[in-house]
Amino acid sequence: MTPLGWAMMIVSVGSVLGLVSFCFFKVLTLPAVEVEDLNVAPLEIETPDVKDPD
Amino acid sequence: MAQKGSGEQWGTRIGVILAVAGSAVGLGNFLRFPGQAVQNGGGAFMIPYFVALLLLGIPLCWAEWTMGRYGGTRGFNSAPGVFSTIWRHPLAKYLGTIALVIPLIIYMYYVVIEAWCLGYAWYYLTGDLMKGPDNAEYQRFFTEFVGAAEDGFLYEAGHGRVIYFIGITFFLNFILIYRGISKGIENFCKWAMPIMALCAVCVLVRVMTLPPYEEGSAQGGAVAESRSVLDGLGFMWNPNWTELADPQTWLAAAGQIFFSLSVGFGVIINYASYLKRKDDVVLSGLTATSMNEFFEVCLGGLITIPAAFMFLGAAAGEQGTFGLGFVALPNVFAAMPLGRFFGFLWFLMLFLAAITSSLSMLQPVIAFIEEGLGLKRHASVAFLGLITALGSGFVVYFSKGMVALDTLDFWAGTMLIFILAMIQTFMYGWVLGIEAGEREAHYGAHIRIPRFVQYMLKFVTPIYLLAIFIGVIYTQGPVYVETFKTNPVARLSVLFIMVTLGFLLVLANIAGKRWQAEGRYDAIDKAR
Repeated sequence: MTPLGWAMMIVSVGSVLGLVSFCFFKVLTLPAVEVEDLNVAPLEIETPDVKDPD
Repeated sequence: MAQKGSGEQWGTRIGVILAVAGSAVGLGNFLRFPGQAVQNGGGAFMIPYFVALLLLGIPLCWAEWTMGRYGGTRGFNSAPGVFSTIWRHPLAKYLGTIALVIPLIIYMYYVVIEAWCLGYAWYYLTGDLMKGPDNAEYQRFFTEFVGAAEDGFLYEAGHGRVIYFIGITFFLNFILIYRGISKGIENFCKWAMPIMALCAVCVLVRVMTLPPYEEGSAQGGAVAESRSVLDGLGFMWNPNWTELADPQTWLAAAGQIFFSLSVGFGVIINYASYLKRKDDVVLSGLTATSMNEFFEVCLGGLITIPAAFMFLGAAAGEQGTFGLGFVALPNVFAAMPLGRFFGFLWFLMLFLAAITSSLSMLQPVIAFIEEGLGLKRHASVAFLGLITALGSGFVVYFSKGMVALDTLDFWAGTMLIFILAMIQTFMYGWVLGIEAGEREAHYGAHIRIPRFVQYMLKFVTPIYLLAIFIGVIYTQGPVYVETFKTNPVARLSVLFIMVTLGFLLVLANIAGKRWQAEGRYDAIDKAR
């Protein structure tokens, strides 16, 4: 492993880790879902046609 | 008139991100990427790779997410419907069928490869894949398992064990797709993605802590050469700058980004159509993309080639995707301490990566059958099950030299993808328009897209795409045209794609008439 090999690996892996960490930090620290959204929370929604398959 | 949609939606913000990332993360991240990198300059390959990510991958992802939510909030989940909301022209729905035929055809052969992964995981559990150091043993096992020696081999008595694995894989896919977006796909991806990451990290730790491999010592002979994990990392990452002067390197890097992110597949546009109007698309798209890059660069780039090089030497870099994954790596696991356990973990991870991708290929077509033909979920799943079973049966029967699989992959899984991506950039940049596109993308967004990305999507990305498309035609086209001329299975495979496309075009025509009669087009016009 040459110094340039180390450099390419560290920069590549480091950049991706930095980007993924930034994204997850932003996603996980977003404000909670608003109350009006909870009223139509998708988890409460049944797949509409399963109850009436035919 | 109220806009009519399927009523299905994603349950959580993280759920949709994991589902889209799951769709993108597949065998290509762990097998194709390392092979491409090592054959195109090692560490130097990462320069054109990141350029393509910034100019092509991320902008296209944002465009697809934006157009998907745009169509979804106007009552359409399938590409023919979404395209019709953006471009109010009768041709739009027919262009949208390309976004159906791609995932449909790819599913037909991808599910077979997925079943190979499940089969290999199973044979690691039973110990049947611990065949010692002879590489020829693994080649023989693979050839027999996939029936690569002759057509119809797998349908002969006693040879079709892979068909059981295909049956299990089909069953799992269709059970999950039947359960729907939130209860099926999202719930599955929410536990499959962390398990995949865990399995990959376990294998990574194992590879990074391997003692140096001394070639020749396993046979009791003199040590010919000793290779450490650092030598393996060097083989993968040491840059060969001269490769940057070769256009083929830039072509390979752009192609890898393109296929890896699942852009131009017709999948993101469908998944994004289940978002609510206020849901973010910019941060979600970037997060899904970055997750895909994590699996590709941080895990695939550190595991596959370094491990293969340690045990196999420079021959590791000469393997194709299947050779590396299903012949070279089993040989590596056989030589590795606790190899049986890590072999099982590796192929389980590949199976999970494959199933999260194959699920995403079914949903766009299910959505179209439901909203275009008005069929209920039961009927849609049964209808799609029959079509895909016929296609997969075709791939399994014409298994000799994997000509059918390879031909379908080139014409549907490569050429049509470029065509669809160009159509989508045209739709976003020139029909919807970058001003409206930017406004739409930023509705509910938690981060901003830099302004220049919009101009890039309008001018640079289409030219970049066209250049790669021409490059692919120039470099690979002659081989496939020659195969088409000389091999009847290749001709049959192309005919199969054309018949499927023709069938979908007829269905799009029927769907268009239904939407017209139901007043759904009028609703789009009123919403403008």
